[in-house]
Amino acid sequence: MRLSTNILFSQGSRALLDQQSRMAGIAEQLGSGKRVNKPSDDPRAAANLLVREHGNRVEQQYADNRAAARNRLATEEGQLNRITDVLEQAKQVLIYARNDTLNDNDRTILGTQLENIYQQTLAAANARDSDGNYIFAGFQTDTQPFSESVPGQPDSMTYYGDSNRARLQVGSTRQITAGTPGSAVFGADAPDDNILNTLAKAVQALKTGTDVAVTVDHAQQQVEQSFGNVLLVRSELGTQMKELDQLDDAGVVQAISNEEQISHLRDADLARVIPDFLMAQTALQAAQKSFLSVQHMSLFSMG
Amino acid sequence: MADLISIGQSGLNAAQTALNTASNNIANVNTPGYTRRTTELAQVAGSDPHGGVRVAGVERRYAQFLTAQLNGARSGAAAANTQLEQLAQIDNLLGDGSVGLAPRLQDFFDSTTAWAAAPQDQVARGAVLNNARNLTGQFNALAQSLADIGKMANEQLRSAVDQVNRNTDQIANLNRQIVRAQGRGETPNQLLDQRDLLVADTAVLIAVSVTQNDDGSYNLTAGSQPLVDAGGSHALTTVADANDPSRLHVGYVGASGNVREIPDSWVTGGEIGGLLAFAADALAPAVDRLNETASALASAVNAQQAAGFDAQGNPGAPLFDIASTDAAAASITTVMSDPAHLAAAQDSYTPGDNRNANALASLQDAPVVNGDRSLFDNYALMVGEVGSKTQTLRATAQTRDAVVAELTRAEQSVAGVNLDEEYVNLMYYVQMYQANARVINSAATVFDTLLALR
Repeated sequence: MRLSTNILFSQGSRALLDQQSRMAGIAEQLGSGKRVNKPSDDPRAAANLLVREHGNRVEQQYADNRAAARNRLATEEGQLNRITDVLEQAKQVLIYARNDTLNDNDRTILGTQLENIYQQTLAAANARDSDGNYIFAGFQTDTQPFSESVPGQPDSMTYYGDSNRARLQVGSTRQITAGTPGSAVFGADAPDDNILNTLAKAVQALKTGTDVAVTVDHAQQQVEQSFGNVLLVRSELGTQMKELDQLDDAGVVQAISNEEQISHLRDADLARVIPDFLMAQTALQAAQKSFLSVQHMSLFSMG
Repeated sequence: MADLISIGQSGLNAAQTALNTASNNIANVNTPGYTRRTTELAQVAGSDPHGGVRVAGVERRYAQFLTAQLNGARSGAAAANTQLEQLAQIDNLLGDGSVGLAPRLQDFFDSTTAWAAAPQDQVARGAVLNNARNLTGQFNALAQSLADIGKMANEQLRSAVDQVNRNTDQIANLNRQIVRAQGRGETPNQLLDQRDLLVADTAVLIAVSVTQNDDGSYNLTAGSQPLVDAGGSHALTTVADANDPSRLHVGYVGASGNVREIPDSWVTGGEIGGLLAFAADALAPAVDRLNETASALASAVNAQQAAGFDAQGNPGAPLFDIASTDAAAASITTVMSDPAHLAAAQDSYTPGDNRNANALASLQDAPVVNGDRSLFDNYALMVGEVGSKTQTLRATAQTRDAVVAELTRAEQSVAGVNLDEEYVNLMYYVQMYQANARVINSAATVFDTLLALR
């Protein structure tokens, strides 16, 4: 085929440009360390990456929620632990109080001890978390859950919270309740039927010496029941904590798997890119050399 | 003797013409549109038995069919390359993580989740509003970038149409000059080269078909409309789309100055065809997807807000507003200014109630776009669509460039100058010149010999 001189040159320069842009593409991968630098590099991977990265962030949201849930459960557990101790003391005091040989003075001392226990239980029931929210108030986190309905009457403690439990999304298909309402920890059926009022009534009986046996008997039953109740709530918390740990472990595995997928989709495989780069470099040099030699091949430059 | 001199003379003249032709070829080796010439020699015919040589013509080595094919290939390649250049801008735009929508969308939903874990926390509420504003700002910026790309494409379309009009005007003008020159018996090779170059330049702008009339003039048709009609030309123009003023179509200016819109499907090749295809097949779908995402976000979040109660006990007010549904991404704004208006509670306001906030946060993976895709899926779909269109076009452009290169080689193998060949021609015709000079010299010697006889 007859070749025009221009074609010889333009072919040479086209080959040069092609090789250069090929090298630039590979150099971009080397520079960024990514094989997908724009969607057209690998459209399916680019779309997939967005979905995976979103998945990763959602996993992170769950992990954050698990941390928040753990924090709340720990705070609640701290108060319940305190209440367990206090109720244990209450049981001891009430056993002494049933002793028929007590005199008025003894009963007054026991009454004072029990009053102290009442105050500690009340403090725990109305405890707040580090953000200032009441722990045992259900959704009514800005309302003190237990207060006297008749001012000055310690046995008129009424529950002003509700029975709701806040839920946190801690896994893609798992919500966890974080926070037990005060009614479930301290209460019975009615707002004013709770362990605080039981203790207050026992304090009054011991101090005044009226209906001591009946009141203390009743109080012993109630404290026993409440004690069991608190232990039950604590064991629920323990189960939830354990589940959070398991979800954490699963989350870590999921995050690693996500990261691997993302890296697989996005990151350049240097073991492949570097040889590619070297080959492109060789090809470019060859194109340059052949261009130079073609350039000198003219009868005009020889004659 | 007189014969010898005139024969030698004819040889000298022919060699000189051939040397001129070769020199002209060498001089124009880099001239765009130049078709190489060859000197065609013939013996002198007629009554003179001794003859001599004459220049039958300086032929233009024009490859008519290859040129037509090449022009078609140029139109195709220009269309693909123009479309690719435009689309690559969107491709790059979405490839840049800092302007991508996904990170802002993610930040927004991260903050709603944090708020759902602490519904009464003022900082968490404030973060939701801040991230909402960043998100709507990102929608606006992305919509603006796409609109800017569309505007630039429109500018390019207008200027390409203007260039077509200038070219067809000149082609008509050249038609007239060529017809006149040929009428005078001349071979206007230079004018023919100019005209073919203009046709080739026009083919890069729009797919044209060329027919040659008996008088040597060209007729040029594009988009099924006559652009050059022997000595006359007709102008193209741009027409705004009836429904979407940001879109342009090509129009044909009739004899009375009336403008008729040409359907996009008729205008297939060249820069113009590529720009029309880009606007219809790539830009509009991308804008639609973005609008779809913005609309779905606003309606889903606002509906969830309305289902709950805010920190002041009122039903949740809208978080987002879309001023124009046709331009959802461009006009979406965050209208809420007081973080207390975020509705975390479900049935009535209680500070610890996070049920509605949980529901709002879970919208991130809900199928809120046309009931079957999440917001992230829809954005990923847009990115995937742009990416695969760009990828396909890149391959198409490469194939078409290769076809152009191959046809150029073929066309240039006929019409292109080869310097080595011209070097040989120079040597050859210098020798011919020298030989004919020797003939004249011989005639003189013969003449002198005769004179010496006396």
